[in-house]
Amino acid sequence: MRQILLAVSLALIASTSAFAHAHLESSTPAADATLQTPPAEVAIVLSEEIEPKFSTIEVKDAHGTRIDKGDVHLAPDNAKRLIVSLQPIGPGSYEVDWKVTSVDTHKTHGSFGFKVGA
Amino acid sequence: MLLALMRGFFVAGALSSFGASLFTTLILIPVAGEFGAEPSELVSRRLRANLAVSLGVALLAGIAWLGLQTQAMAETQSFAETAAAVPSVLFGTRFGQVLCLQAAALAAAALFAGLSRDRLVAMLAGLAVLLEAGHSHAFAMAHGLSPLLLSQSMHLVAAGAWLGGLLPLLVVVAHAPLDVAHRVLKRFSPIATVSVVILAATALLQGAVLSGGLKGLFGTAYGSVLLLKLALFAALIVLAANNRLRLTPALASRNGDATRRSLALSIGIETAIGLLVVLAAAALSGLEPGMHITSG
Repeated sequence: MRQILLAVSLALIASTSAFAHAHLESSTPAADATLQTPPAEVAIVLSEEIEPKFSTIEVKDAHGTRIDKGDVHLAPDNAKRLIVSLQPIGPGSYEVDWKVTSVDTHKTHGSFGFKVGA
Repeated sequence: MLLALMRGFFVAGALSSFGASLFTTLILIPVAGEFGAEPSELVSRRLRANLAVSLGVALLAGIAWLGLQTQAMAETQSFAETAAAVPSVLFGTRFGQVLCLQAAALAAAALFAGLSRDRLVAMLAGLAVLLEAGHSHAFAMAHGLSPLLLSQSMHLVAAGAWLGGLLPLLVVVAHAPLDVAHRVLKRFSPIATVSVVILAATALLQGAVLSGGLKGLFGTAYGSVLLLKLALFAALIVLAANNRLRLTPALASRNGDATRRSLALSIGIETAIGLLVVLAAAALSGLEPGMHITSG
């Protein structure tokens, strides 16, 4: 009985609830990257599957003008990869702001930048 | 916090529905058969009321949870906006689709409860409990049956079998003849023991994968609630052990009636603590776990 009590205690100290938040694992373009060719889209990969209806990616230029097309969607083969298409862009600095809701209903957000070289 | 509370009551209602119908199927009816009699009308009436209330709490709390979750996900500002967004959440998100299935299982369980089809009620309520794992981090991380998801599912079923059976157990201990109550307690004991072992083992697996360790445990809101859950669970174990090792054997002695009152009080306290454990688990659902905070 004592061993069972100890095991239970250790289990509960170590355990967490099975509820958590999605975190950014990678992006395309990569954060702070400098590209020679303007990208046609921005994609982010999260640690959990995403609800696209309640997730956004906004891409803005140095003047704060949105240059994405607002067509946020999941990659067809990966429910953790969220994509937004871009309007044609030129050299300059760009900021990506993302807000996602994962399928376990939790929200996370973040931002990163990238540059397109002259 | 209100959202977590409604989620907690939904889960509590589902666990109680499952545990109550499982108790009737696996314990009460066989024991009554051993004594060559049907359960008394008083016991049967109270058990049916317990099941009806449990199903009602689950369904009503589920509706409230849906509304609050819709408000949170769609970031609506008014009741009208939230109501308009409900179909999108209910049918267009994983959360809503899983909740639909759970509601269907619980509604079917309520229908069959009215027809006294206890075994079917237990299966349907058990399905609603199993589906709760579809709201979990484990399911979000790895679509499909992963060890973590399996662990979460087993954790939920074990909680339902044990904690959900406490209220029916209390009814029997309080109102059935002493020899019947004693026999029911002895039959419930292995279910409770196996459930506790499963709860501990599955918590260990989940902790190994998701834990932020001691650093995550102290100094975060998540860690504080987890410590509270640990303390409540420890209290449950102590009460259960006392019931099993001291009070149950004494029920068959000359002081059976006095022991009955002590046992009923103890099981009542156990039930209340069990509800707090479920609510604490739901509160954890709204907090960021230590594993993410400590990893930066």
